[in-house]
Amino acid sequence: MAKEVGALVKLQVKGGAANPSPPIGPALGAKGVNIMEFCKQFNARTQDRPGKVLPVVITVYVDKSFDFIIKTPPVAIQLLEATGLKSGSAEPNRKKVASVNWEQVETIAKDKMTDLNAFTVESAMKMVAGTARSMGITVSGTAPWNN
Amino acid sequence: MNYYELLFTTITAEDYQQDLLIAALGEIGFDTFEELDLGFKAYIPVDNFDQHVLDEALEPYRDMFTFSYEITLIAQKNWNEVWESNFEPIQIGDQVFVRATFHEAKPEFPYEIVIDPKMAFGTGHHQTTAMMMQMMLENDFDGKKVLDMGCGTGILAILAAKLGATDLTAIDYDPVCYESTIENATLNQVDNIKALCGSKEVIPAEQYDIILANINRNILLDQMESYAKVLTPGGEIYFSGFYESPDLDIITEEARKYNLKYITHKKDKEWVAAKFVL
Repeated sequence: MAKEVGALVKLQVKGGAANPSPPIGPALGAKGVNIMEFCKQFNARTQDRPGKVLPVVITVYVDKSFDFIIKTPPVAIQLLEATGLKSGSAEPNRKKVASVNWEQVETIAKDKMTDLNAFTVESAMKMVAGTARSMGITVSGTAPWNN
Repeated sequence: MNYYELLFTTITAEDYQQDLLIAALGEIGFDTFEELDLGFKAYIPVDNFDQHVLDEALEPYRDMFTFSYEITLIAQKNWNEVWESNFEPIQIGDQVFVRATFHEAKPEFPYEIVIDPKMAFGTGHHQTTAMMMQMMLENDFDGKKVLDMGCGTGILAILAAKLGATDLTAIDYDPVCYESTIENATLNQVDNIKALCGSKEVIPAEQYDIILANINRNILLDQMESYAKVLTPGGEIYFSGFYESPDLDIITEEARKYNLKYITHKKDKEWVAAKFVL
């Protein structure tokens, strides 16, 4: 039988750097989870991505045990990395601040497939391209499915 | 360590805008974030906080969407106390019994360890601690000089002392762990552990027969040379805190550079404890 879920905690934590301070301490500690065990596991699983802010969703069960899923960095952050931008455009409709090509969109889409709940690479790419446009980043070239 | 909590309310923001703001705060020393329905909380150690740097980092986002924040000081406390107040004692084989002060003693175990963990790691509940203790029971500590790196609660040093080690040094970079080791040594009436607060640079320039290090892969890789320097020829190192794949191969390869020979390892779930000899 599946274990009864007590709470979901959504955090963003730097890879390899989880420690028992706030918010991990209070968020998990108050629910009776052994915080030190979470930190040890999170850090072991993220040691290849030190310093990167990674979204993590922690499921705390009624019996105080826990599971967690580490996601890849958000689409917007991957777009900043791909373009070298520091932030998006303040007026995305009028002021374009950078551009990416469809190959870059595809790379990010494949990386984020599971987190985006997309069934096909094409639908994930459309979501990534949408986020890019809202940030004032143009997608250059013709979409592969229009070729 | 005291922290500031910044509660950001981002009413008009789309999800990706909040992600951008979180990433920008990550760049200026905020280390962890909690996502909420109408915004998020961002956390930074008080010593790293600079209002001017924060204002500058937020500036580009002021034109993009509406947000506000409130700052609260969160004083250091023992966040682990709920778990600690009702954790179960643990047995390692039929020899070691680890319990808290509020558990009943079990004198039938040859080695009983009392731990008051607070926010230090090491109660025997984690696979890595349990495997390190099993390995220690299979080896000879009598009369040995032992170094425990990343000692946490001091549990491994305390067991080593109970197994007959005569001279022990226990090191942790976290002041909470350093204090916890001293406290727990006293609780267990062990008086030959010298606790030090720091990293590899505080390792005394002495020769050790056995080194224990349950930390993590990256720190072990970084510190291995320092360990090899203070290990007696023929001395043993017990490493833990990493996964079998791919970490064990990476650790073994690094160890080879310092003539540390892989002997054996234990595995529980994906975790590993491994023994090396110089």
